[in-house]
Amino acid sequence: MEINIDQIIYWEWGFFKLNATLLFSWLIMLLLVAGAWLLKRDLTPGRKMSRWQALLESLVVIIKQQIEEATQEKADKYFPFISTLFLFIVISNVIGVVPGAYSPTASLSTTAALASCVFVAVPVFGVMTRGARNYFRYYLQPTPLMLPFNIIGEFSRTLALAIRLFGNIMSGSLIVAILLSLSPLLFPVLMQAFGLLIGVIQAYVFAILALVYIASAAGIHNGSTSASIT
Amino acid sequence: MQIDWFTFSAQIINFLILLLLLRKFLYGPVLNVMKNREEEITSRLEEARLKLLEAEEKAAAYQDKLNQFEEQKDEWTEKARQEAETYRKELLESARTEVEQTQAKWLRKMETEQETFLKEIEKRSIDNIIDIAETIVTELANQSLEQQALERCVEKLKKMDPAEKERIQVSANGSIEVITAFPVDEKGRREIDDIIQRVFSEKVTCNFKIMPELGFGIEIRSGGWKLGWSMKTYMDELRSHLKAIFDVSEVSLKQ
Repeated sequence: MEINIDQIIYWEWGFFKLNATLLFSWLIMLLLVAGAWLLKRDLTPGRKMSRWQALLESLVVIIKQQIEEATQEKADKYFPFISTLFLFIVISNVIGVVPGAYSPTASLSTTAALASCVFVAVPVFGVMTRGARNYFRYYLQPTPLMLPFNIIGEFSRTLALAIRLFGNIMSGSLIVAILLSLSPLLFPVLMQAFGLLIGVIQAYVFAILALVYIASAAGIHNGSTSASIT
Repeated sequence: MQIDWFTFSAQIINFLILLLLLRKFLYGPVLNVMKNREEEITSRLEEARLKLLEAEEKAAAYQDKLNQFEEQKDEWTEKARQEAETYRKELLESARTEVEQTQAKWLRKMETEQETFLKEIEKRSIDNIIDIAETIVTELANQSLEQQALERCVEKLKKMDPAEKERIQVSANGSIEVITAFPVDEKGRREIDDIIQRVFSEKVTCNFKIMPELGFGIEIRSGGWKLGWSMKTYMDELRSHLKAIFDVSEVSLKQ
């Protein structure tokens, strides 16, 4: 049982290597894009629609509502980034229940990469919304002396995002692996089901936190809440 | 537990690619479809709202018309009632007139029939009375009665007013017609001639004629003038009296 799935390497050429994380990430991407393409084919603007379209639209509406509740403004600007994060993480988390499959989010490299994307997205959305001067002035609030602490806060919450997701998913896989060696079949199955719930919840937590960071950077909450949520 | 930097970098790139692909294949189309549906629903709602407004306006207009109709209904009903009443009165008047005309016609017919009947009765009564009287007188009449009638006539002639005598003489132009019911013998004729000539003039001659219709008696006629004493004279008088009596009765009956 490998704790770090980055170490499961299928193909390697110099610096380039194809490990389980990348392979399953691509599979998930392929799954999402193929699913999106299939759904797009049958999309209809009329009132009669397929069940899959209804499900997809319901999901879109729920995500938009969550974004609008958190940001108190129209969701269109944040929707693609937040929903991509959520969809990728939720599929990555639940794919772990498939025998022989690995959750890419059980790799710290993946969670760190996703957290880094959030880390970059926060100032990008902040500058886009408030302007560079207004955004970076936030780091000097309430006094310039707080600049180092604000910067540390930015890094620490990014780290917390990455570690939280990685820890939850990796621990879930690890617990199932350990229980498989200790107990009969029934209990690990229960833990697998529990792991599905944890996976969905963690995807939701990751997406919501990313949204809150971005929203606070965009000045929605007057810049005071972001530092406290880590 | 460490970060593989190649994997880290690759995952960032993977995420960005996935973001672009999903944006192209999923978010764009889905959001467009939803937006179009929202617009369609909004436009339909707006259309429904406009139609509702239009329907409310129409309903108000129809309500106004209904109210007007309700207001006019009483007026029309009263007008129709008055027209019906007028027509009823006209019909009644027409029927009454027709009845009156029929009644008048019927009364006229009745009167005519009554008159005819009365006239018939009158005529028959007079005829019967006259017939009976004539029968009685005719059966009783003889030469002596004739003689008495002649004498009576002679008395009348004698008592005649001289001016009237003169007028008769002028109109007689020399000839006077003497009519009797029975033939007068030669002696009687001479006597009559003699009396006539004494009364009028010797130049006047008598022209004797026999007319049984007289019953008995004698009549002297000349140029529209007539003098005599005969049953026919009495009978004519009787006829006049009876007719007068019947006419009076008829008038009182009509009244």
